[in-house]
Amino acid sequence: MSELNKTQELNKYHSFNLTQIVSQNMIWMVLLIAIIFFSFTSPVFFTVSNMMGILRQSALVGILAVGVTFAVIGGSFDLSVGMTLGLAAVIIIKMNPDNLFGAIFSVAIALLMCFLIGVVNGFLIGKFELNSMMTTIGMKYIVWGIILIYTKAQHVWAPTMYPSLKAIGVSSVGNIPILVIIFALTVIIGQLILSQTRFGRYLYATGGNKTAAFLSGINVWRVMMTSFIISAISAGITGIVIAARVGDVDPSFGNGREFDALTAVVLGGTSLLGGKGSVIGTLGGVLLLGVITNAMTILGLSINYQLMVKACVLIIAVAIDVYFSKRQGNKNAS
Amino acid sequence: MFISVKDKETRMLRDLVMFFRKYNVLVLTLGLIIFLSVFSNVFTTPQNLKNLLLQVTTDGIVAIGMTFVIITGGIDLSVGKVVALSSVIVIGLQNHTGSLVSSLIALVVGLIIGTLNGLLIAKVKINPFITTLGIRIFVEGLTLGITNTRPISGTDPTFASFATNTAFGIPNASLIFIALILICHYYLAYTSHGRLFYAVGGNKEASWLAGIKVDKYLIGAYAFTSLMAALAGVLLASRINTGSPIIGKDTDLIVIISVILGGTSMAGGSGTVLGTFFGVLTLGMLNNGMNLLGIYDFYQTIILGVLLVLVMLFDHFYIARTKKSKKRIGIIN
Repeated sequence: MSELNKTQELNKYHSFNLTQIVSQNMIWMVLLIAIIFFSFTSPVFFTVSNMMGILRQSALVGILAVGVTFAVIGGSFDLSVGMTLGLAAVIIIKMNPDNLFGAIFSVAIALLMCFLIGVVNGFLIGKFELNSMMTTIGMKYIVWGIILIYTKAQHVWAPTMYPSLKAIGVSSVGNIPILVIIFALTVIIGQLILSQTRFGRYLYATGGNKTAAFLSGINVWRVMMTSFIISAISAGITGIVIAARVGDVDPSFGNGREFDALTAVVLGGTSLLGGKGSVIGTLGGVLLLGVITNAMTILGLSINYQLMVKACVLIIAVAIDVYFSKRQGNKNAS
Repeated sequence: MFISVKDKETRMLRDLVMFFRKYNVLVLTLGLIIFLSVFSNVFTTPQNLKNLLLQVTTDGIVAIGMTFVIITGGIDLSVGKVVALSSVIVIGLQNHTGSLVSSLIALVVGLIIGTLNGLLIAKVKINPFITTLGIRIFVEGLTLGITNTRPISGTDPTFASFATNTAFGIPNASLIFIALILICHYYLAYTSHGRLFYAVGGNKEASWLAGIKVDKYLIGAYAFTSLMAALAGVLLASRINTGSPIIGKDTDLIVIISVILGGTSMAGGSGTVLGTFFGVLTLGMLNNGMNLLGIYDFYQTIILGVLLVLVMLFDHFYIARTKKSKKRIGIIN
């Protein structure tokens, strides 16, 4: 019996298995099908400028989503990232740096604040084992209140922002926007951290089975804290880039961006149960979400109805994830 | 049997501690009442008390439903948006169907949304947080879409005066709220059907094995919560005579905080509707007091967030302690 199982296991890994390859790369195939489909439905979709637009839009969601991937792989959610990126953007814009020193100083302050938010989140969730979703919703409201006090609930703008800082958001190297380059770097660094470092291994172990990870000597709460710090810092980077790009923001503009990031992460095959997923998958999810959003805009759907479609995408993606994990669970059990 | 004076004293002290632990929310409520009566001279005026009762009515009705959901071990993050949707439906359809029918339509829509929540959670087995988060965004998009992000004003004067009209000196909406509190408390605490919600929340596997239709109770809890949210939306729309996509912005948070404050544990399997009532009252007074003392809205946002975290920490330590004591006497290992 066990011999037979072992042979089957070996066969599963060594033979060419079409279903497995399809199920592992589903997101890329769906992305390809979506692009082909929308190219036929709309003539403006498959043009260089539109594709660049999608990339630029995706980059903003993407940098955030890469960070959120870490939290989700660790088995928790981070819903405070939307407001965290708002805080970072507001700090940059309110400080309105007009020289190099000021720019570096404001960026450092913004990242420090995000770091602190990540530490508090990670401490509450890792050390006290509070429910991550409720805790980060509480944190979202706290950060929101801080933003409202800091801006006095007024629209803020930076008239004289340091040109090099502004360039991060608007200019491009050759044909590629700096935004997209930052996104690509985040994806590469994120994937390397996940698959090549000890912390990455520990994160998968923690997300997969917290008790087992703890018993095998992993400092579980420190790993979870690091994952929340990473997601908060990525939110900070997104906020800085957005501040550099638009130069003026509303106090509550970050609200709701966490849902986009979460949807992209789930679409990319990262399991909400934790312990499974990759940054490369998230990249696919981000691009698919970008393509869908862009197509809806081209087809003239108002932003409110786009919200409904995105909600359906989130629920369907989670349902597929649950369905596959259940089947896998049954297989392991039998 | 002879009991020495010292024993008697320690027992009294122990009873006092037990009393505080059991009725902490009651103590908090009374403390706040005393504090506010001393520090604000408007708090005890009948007008302010009536206002307070009307203010807590919306969140309170939603909190009754949320108590059921949290007792079953779940959560519903979509209630705030259901309140907004229901207010929009009531006011929007008023001219076409009349207020009574439009109210009924709003309630039915609420029931459908809740049933959808319940089906996704019980049958598809998606995490309740994610399900209700998705439904929340869906309902938000729908509400913003059908109103074009603008509030609608009502045109029916009878409907507009229904919630604030008084019977026995109490506004109609608050009367409904109090009646619901009593009925639901009786149902949960004293009927066999109600007790099964605790069983489901305490241990789903064991309940299923004992022959309880777990899915039925889960779906029922979510459907009831959304129905209550829709009812709250109708009453709120009647009070302010407006249907708006942005009302109920903080409702989810306030409701969840008051339910946990009222002694319902996030882990499921324990809690009472009466406790929730006092939780709602406490939060309402806190809000009322902050308004009376002139504290900005910004600070109230922060305070809500801090309160949520504090309440969860309290819940966590309380559960940890109960688990430890149960372990000591051998109920669980």
